[in-house]
Amino acid sequence: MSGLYLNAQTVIPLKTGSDIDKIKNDAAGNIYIINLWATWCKPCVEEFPGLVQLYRDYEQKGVKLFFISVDEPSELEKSIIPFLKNQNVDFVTYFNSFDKMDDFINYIDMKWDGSIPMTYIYDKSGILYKGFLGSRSYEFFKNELDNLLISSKAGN
Amino acid sequence: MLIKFKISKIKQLFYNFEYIKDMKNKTINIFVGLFLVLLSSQIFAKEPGDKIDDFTIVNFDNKTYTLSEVKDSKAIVIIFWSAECPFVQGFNDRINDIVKPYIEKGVTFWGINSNQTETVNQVMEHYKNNNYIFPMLKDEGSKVADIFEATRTPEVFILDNGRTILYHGRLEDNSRKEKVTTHDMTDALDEILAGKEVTSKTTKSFGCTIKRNEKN
Repeated sequence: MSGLYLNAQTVIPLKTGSDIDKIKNDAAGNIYIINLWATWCKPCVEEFPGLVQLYRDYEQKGVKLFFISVDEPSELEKSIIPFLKNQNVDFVTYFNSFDKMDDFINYIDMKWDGSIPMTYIYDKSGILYKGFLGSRSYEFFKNELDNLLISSKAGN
Repeated sequence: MLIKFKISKIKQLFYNFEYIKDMKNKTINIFVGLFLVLLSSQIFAKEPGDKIDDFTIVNFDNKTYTLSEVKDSKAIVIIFWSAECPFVQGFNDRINDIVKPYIEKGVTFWGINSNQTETVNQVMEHYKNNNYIFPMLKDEGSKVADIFEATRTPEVFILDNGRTILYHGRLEDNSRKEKVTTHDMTDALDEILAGKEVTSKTTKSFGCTIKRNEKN
């Protein structure tokens, strides 16, 4: 659209379930990854560059990546945006801005307890393929994506 | 011991398997279904109503802590803790103030550090520096975390004297004092001390994953 996020990070607040639905609807027809993270979470910060690299390598294959920060919304300017700048993130990311933490956690996944990092991979039909609690490497996610891409082709 | 270790691995595996859907292979679906039924009792954190297996920790304070030997306590509160997790550190300034009135009313509090990435010395230093008024137990091998199937810090379990869970969830709804709107743990304790059933038995919270031996 515009050059809005060429020099500045666009970080969109997620206030309600319909905001999360919108992300998923916009990704319809693509494999997509949702990663829940926070600047205060060391393993999240450690796995972050691997996920960014993964997105760079798989964007052309139609894979989308949605980072959702669970930092306090008041940390947006102070922590989230500087971190994203530092990671050279030049695509839209999101942050939790629900009134109630439980509502956000349950809307993402009833089975998720809120611990991070948490990463979900969805298939092209928007169906949850796998969920991973705890940090994983670039190679791990690459392997998962490759497998899913192969099975998607075989199925179509 | 081995079995517990395996359950934790299976849990991790299951979390991955659980979401396998539409594999265009019914055999796999049947397998996953069977897997689900067979393991359903082991999968998630222990919940209100579940009874907790006994455990013993010989701690760095040279004391031995055995759950079943806690007698005459109005309730036993187990809080999975971390010396590193920033979400936990947000509670350091006020955790003593939160628990003190309840200790005075006869409630037992044990902090448990199950992170294999945090050494005994680190946990001991952190304990001393923060002057906690309740014991902090180092859970070698994350065995206690496995018993509770705990996954994060901070994570609270309130037990009755029969080691049955009455409440599982968060301490408060924010680690920053100025942002707190619900005092979930103490609300549950107030009800328990009044002889009432806990209204909100399960709550969720952001937090750090407990670092078991496998890298996660």
